[in-house]
Amino acid sequence: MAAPHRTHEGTHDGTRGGTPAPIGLVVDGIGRTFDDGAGQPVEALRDVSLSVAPGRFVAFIGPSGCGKTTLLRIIGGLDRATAGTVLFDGGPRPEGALGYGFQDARLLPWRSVLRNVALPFELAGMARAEREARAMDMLERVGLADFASARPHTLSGGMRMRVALARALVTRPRLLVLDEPFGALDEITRTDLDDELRRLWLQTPMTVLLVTHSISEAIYLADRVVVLAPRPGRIIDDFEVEIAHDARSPDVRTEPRFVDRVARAATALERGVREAAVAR
Amino acid sequence: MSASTRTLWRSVLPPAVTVVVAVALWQLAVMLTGVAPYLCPSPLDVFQAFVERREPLLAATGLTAAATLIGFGSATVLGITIGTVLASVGILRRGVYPLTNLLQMVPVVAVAPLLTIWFGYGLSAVAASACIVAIFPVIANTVDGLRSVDPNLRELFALYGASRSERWLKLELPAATPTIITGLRIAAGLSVIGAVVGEFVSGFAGANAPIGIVILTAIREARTDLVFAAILCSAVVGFTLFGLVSGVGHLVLRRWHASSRATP
Repeated sequence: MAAPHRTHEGTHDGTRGGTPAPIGLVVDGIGRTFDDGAGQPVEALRDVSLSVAPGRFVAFIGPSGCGKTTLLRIIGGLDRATAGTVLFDGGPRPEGALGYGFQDARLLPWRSVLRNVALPFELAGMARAEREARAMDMLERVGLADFASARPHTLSGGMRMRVALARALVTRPRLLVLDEPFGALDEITRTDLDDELRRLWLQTPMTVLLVTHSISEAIYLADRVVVLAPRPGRIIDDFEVEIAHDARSPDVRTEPRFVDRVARAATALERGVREAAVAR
Repeated sequence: MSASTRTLWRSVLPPAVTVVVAVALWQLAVMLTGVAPYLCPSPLDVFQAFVERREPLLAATGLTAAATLIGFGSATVLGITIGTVLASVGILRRGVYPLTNLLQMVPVVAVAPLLTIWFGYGLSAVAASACIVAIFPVIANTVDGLRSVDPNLRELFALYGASRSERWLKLELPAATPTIITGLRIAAGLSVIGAVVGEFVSGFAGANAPIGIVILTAIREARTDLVFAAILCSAVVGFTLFGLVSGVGHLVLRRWHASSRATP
């Protein structure tokens, strides 16, 4: 199925210029070889190709060392591929159109929550009043308006990730790249933030790429799940979740169709690890 | 009593008691042994010497404080500047930074006479002496602080297209501030030492004598009580500067840094 399972189109507000369109991307034959430090080449990714339609939510899962983070970093422009290309709407990576979320919140401890969220605008040279107004809007959307003047160290881990998410989204990115953003959080906080992320995605016209090591999180959030196998990192399965987003509440995880998707991903993961062990 | 007052008492009271007990023991020891005052004056002798010579002592303290402050101030500005250059220019850091560490080992006492040739007698030479001792911890801590910025935060700034100067001003400098303040606190204590050593060599004698010269003169006159009083005066300069730097550091860091958060 090609169409995303969106239940409603985003609440596009046209007050600040035209609505940015989500980015579609084509990853073609990506390879990445590292030097292991002892002069031996290590192949982190081999011939990875996939295309993502604009506005979709794609999750990448795989065991640690399968290159999923490397793939995301190459797409995000944080690392260079040693082979292959990535095209964004058929062209090079557009400036300022990407938002990033990382495993750690990466907040500046000396800045208030508001000024952390306003940072991307500040570095882009936007005037103070405007950037802080926009950051405040964003904080309201993630339910943190009351903490605007707090310093990050006074917040819980979940709230810090929420701030990081707000900073990633404040520039209205057309492509959001998330590298295990909630991996360090407890289960309840994590589900909470997953729901939040879904809500924000449904409201915003953007494509999301999410790397996670949790099968359940991948299937709970994504339209489509890409499974990677290790040594060398490559795609071993790629399937549509086919559960409507408005049907995805925490309860969905016990339903047969959800369990079935989890089983498919788990099978692919195991196969990948087994093949890697044999190859060794 | 509020919790913070109680904490304050807990941190102030024990050392205060120690000082009172130590001074009392000192007084008692001098009285019991009957040691000659020129060898070891009693606390009361020192106090009397201070009262008797308070005007020249206070003037001397003022002069030493001025030289210390100028030396410390220039060490701060120069040290942070040099540290920033060393931290950002790789070739200079590799070529110069190890030498600054070596240079630090050169005793100021040995260099101080040279300063008289370059700066003449008086305030400039003394301030230069203070600056020379104080600048090294500032340079070292600036370099360390700037270079140990979380690489993840650097990556974040790169992602958002920060320029080099923005990165310095909005990331590296704030991130290095706790380390730099630690360097400044060390420098505060050292700058008084540098000033007094400088005064031994190039301070003006006579009516405008700073602490170092008061000490030398008192030694020649075997006024050990006055020597002690002068030492105390120079110590007060050091404590005050250290306290000021720590206080300002606390104000700057208290909203975010662990070193300044209330500890139970």
